[in-house]
Amino acid sequence: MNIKIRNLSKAFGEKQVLQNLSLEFASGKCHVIMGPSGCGKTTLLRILMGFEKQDAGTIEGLPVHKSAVFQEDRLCEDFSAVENVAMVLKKGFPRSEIAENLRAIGLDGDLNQPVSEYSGGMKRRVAIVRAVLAEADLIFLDEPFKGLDTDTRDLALQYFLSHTKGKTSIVVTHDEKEARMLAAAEHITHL
Amino acid sequence: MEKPSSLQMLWLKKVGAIFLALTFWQIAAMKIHSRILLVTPIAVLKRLCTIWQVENFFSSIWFTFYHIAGGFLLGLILGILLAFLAHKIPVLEILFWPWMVTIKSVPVASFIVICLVWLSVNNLSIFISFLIVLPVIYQNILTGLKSGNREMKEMAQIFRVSPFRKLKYIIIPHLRPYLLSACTVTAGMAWKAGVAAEIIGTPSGSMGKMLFLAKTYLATDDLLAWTVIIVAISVISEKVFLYVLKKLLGESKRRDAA
Repeated sequence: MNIKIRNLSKAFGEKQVLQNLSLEFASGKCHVIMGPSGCGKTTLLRILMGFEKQDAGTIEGLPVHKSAVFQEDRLCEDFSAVENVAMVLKKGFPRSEIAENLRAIGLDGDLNQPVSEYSGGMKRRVAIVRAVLAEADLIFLDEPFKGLDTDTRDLALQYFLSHTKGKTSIVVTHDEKEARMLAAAEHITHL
Repeated sequence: MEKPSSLQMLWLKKVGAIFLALTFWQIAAMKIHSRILLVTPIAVLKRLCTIWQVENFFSSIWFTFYHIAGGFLLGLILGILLAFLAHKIPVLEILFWPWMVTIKSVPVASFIVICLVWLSVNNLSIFISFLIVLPVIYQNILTGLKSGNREMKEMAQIFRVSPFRKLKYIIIPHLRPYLLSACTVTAGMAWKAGVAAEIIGTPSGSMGKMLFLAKTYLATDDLLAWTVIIVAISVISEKVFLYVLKKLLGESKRRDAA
């Protein structure tokens, strides 16, 4: 089922962030939202995630099961990469499969050390694997590849695309190249 | 020869300071020359070597220990429970407020006297150490819960993390420093207040009663020997408890086998 946004508006005090926004996200596709800083990309994602309430407008077709890569990594710092991912999965999900996914995104080395000991780029990739493996019909990604070098970003991007085929995802990015690699032109929206 | 590290130097300085204090005590006791007013540290040490032969020595230690430890644990558990409740239902925070403020501000001695009217002297130290611990644990845990990370809450919400996992992965690691600091402060306080309650209430078979008797018979060496024992047990039990608590809270931090 497509996600339909009609006449969405949102203001923070005097500042109108979104004004009569209407969009439709086709089911099973990767959608990219682009635009300058402060244009309301993250606000739109936060409304779709249910963390903000719109002032006006309607949203239809939002699935119940969602996952996300936030602007910040939002990992449990004291726990390992494997545990961070296992935390959002069903009990009994094979740890070996989690480790396999973490390795597929280029995280080699000790996957059992606390993520507090990881670099920013490593944490980012753990957050991506967590969102991809979580049981979800819709994945939100807010600048998911921020802070990754080109090679690592390409690897993470390939991992994401190959593991989310047929799933609906909404990605916020500033990077044109990233946007083109992620989505077909008709699925790129400029706010 | 290797130079001692800064930590070793600090320890050496501390040992030196203790030695100096003991020397000062020894000289003062020798000058005063009265076994009632002040005994020498050597006399206290000698008494410590023989005091265990006193009737009911071990049972007195056990009596005081389990009463104070019991009161401490009760205060710990109830403080945590009430803090969670107050955080969940804000009106409860307001309702708990006068109780907690009263418990914190009323002098321990007043509580001891009031409790002597209500309770049997045997349970006095449990109740007093409980009262000392409860408001500090409650306040620290509530502060910890209030300063909870909104971002992590949102993460748990979107991934539909179960309450148990939220507790294990998000809440306990967040509350860990609040709980540890509250326990570090209250463990020593519970001992001081608990023993004070026993000295006033003098329940039979307690260390407080032993101290009271030593004072009554002007046995200053006994008084100081019992004080040393109380301090030693208080410090040891505090260290053991904090070690166990750190292990328990830290378990979830351990590495996980992939």
